[in-house]
Amino acid sequence: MIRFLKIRLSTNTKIMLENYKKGFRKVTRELIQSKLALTGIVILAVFSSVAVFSPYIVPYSPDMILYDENGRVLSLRPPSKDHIMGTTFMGQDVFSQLLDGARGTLLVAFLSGLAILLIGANVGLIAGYYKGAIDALLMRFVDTLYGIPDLPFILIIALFIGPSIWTVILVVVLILWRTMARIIRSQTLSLSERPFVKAAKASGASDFRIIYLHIAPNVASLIFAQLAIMVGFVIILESSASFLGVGSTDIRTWGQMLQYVFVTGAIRHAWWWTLPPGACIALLVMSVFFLSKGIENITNPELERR
Amino acid sequence: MLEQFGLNEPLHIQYYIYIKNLVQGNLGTSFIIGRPVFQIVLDRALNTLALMLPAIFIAFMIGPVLGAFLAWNRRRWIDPIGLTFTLILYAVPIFWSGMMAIMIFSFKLGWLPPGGMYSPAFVPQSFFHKFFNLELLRHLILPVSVISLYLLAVPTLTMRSNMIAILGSDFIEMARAKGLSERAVLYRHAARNCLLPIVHFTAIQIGFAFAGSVVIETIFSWPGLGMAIWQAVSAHDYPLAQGSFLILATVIIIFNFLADLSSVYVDPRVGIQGE
Amino acid sequence: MSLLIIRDLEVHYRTYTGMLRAVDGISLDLDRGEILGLAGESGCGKSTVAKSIMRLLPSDSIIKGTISFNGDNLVEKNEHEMTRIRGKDISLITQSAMNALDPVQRVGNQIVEAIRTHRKCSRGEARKEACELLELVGLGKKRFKNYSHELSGGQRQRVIIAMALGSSPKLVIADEPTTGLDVIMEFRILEHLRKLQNDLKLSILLISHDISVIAQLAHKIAIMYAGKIMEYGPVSEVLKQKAYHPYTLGLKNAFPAIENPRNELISIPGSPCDLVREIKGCRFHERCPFSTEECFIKEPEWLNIKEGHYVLCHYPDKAEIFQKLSQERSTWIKDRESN
Repeated sequence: MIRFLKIRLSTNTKIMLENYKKGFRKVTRELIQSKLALTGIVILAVFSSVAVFSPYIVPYSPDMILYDENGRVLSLRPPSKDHIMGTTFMGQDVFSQLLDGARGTLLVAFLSGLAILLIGANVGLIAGYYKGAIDALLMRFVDTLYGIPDLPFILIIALFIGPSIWTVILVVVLILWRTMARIIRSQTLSLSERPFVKAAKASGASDFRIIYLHIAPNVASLIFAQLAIMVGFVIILESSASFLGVGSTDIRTWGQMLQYVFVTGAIRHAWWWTLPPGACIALLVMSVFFLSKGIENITNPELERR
Repeated sequence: MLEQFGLNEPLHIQYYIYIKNLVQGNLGTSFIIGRPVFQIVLDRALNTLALMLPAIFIAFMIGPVLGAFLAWNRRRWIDPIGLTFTLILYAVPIFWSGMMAIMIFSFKLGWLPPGGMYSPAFVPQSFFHKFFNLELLRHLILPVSVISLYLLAVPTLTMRSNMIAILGSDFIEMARAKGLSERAVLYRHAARNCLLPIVHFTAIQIGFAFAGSVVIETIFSWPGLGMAIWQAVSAHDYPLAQGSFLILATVIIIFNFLADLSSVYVDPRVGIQGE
Repeated sequence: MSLLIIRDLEVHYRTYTGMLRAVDGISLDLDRGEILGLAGESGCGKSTVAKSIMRLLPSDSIIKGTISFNGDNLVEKNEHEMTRIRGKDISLITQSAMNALDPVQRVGNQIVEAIRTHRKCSRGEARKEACELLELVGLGKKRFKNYSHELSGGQRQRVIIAMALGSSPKLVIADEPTTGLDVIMEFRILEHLRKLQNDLKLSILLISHDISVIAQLAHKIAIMYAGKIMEYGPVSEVLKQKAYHPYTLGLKNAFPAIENPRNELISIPGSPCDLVREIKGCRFHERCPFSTEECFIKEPEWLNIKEGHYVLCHYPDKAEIFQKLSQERSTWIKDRESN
């Protein structure tokens, strides 16, 4: 593909890409072998495709209020032939909402994950590699807000800047990037003492090269294993926040669906409305966890032998 | 009104006043309730503790035992099943399991009350009576069960992975070479070494467990700190929101500190000077 | 009379890439009051032998053959029976004694535990004995209440030795007892072991990659390579005089001798062979400077050259020539050449 794009790359960049490609291929190969990770990947893939294609596969428009033959709102109907998951209090089709909710939930998960990855991993790498003053400065940053509880914090922030899906993403990334940074930092610290890094330094490689060409590929599997766990947190946090009404108000997520369930007091009878969103959240979190366990198993195979 | 709340002063003056009040124990007055925040928060804090402490206790007592059991039997069939079960406990959002629990046990089966701390008719005679009575117990069962199950996941998993790591270490091999039975190895050497990180880690987790009380109290209409924060945020009651958040954060910091302290006592390798 | 008789011991581990034959048919004898040294490179299977005698192998391993200890075949014993033998009749001094002590218990208590596991006695009695043992290894009873992180490497090693002797074992397996210690400490500990062996009439299986350690202490030596024993005989013959197997000759070259200081050390080129592959012929043929076609195709036989001296080679009769040639650097440096 590089040839196709007719891009001229320096030899070193080519080596870096080779390293990443090798690492990536190794990880994918073993991931596929691990049943656990495979299950996780499959579930994730299913959810993702649902999220992407949901506008085309929903039987009804998620927001459309439905009426029966007599013109009454189809409120809180149990599952039937027409509505496999019944209807909501407002007469909307639960199944369609579920499919639509996948979009919001996965959007948050994906964006937050990306942000945590970019910010957290880079800060960790830089702090761990340069040590000294830079490290101290960055870590002070990380440490200051250490003891803050996650959910209440979201509430407070929402109080000041208003609830929305972006608030959630912002706060979640704010809280979680620190943990990622810490973990990456400690791994980088130990790696930069290793001979291969000293050798690279001695042969005159620039810092940028060392960090991204040599150290990063080695930390990569740790990064992704941690990322998977964090995304699990993100999903739960977002759902909880939306449930409380301080999360997503415009974009539908599964947590938000559950808010309506609670607020309308539907938990008295409407199991068909209560069950699916929560079950989907749980499944999503589990699949992400399986993925991370799979990655972890690959990087630490010796833990399994005992 | 602006003048009453000092809102027309420059920002740094406002901050100074806030801190001054804080030190004196004055957290302002709640907009919606009209009583001083401090009083409200104190009451609510006790209610939260009444709910969370039993749940935390159960979870952190059973969790490590379960984790050790799974680690010990990690080759047999029970391990993957136990792991999956624990994972489900972790992945299921607590507000959802709470809702399902209320749906099944309160509405469908009618066994337990759907929320609140007491039945409406109940009048506590005294402080002691307020917290030690049968009514409270009945109202506690459902929420505490739900919370315990949810909190169980992390200690179990952590204990299990710690245990597996320790069981592979050299001194365990030495203990076996000395001729100790597997059980003696487990209790006398493995468990004690596992306990250290667990104790430290538990106190931190407790802090975060409190954070989750927001959601739980909302579902079960439990008048605690978490619910206070939520109510305050919904009603834009700034003093109450700030006050309850502050107290909650303080509780968590206290527990973190206890964690550090405890690791000094439990681990002979950690001295007071070191960290 | 022989205390420990091993015949045709095989230990296989299951790995990702296949069956790893860590120990592939070895036999040796250890008599009462004797020290047998087991030497070889890292990864040749020595520690596996130690673990298989104690039956402390990981659960996905397969063990075959006979390990006869005091008349009983240890291979056939179940776990319960083994726990009664471990630490009592057979003690283990492990490699990496750095980490062999429980970090949260006092070292004295760990010795007490070793004593009370196999003998009914009061805590007070056991404590007294533990203090005596600490004196015996030169640590002194004030070390009783130390934690392992408060002791140096040499001190920890001596605690392990004290623990191993606590139950008056018949056989002590010392697996790399001095690895990681400086030479002075190493010398001291070895001398200590020799004195203890003398006084208590211990039988010791001494495992080390350092043949100078074995030369200092042992009566007999077995040289292991790639899961098999290459040469086996009295130390006086094999190490101090002339050895028969090219590998032994190569090993001797790699260690500096104070009596005849050579200018350079000659090492054996190449690296140990992969134990998963099916190997035809002699294990050592790839690195042996004297190997021939026959070495490549046919496995050598276990030959008895003299009383108590065995070798696994096709050409024991050419030993004289090997001994002379192995002293030349050029023999080892150039590529493998037919004789």
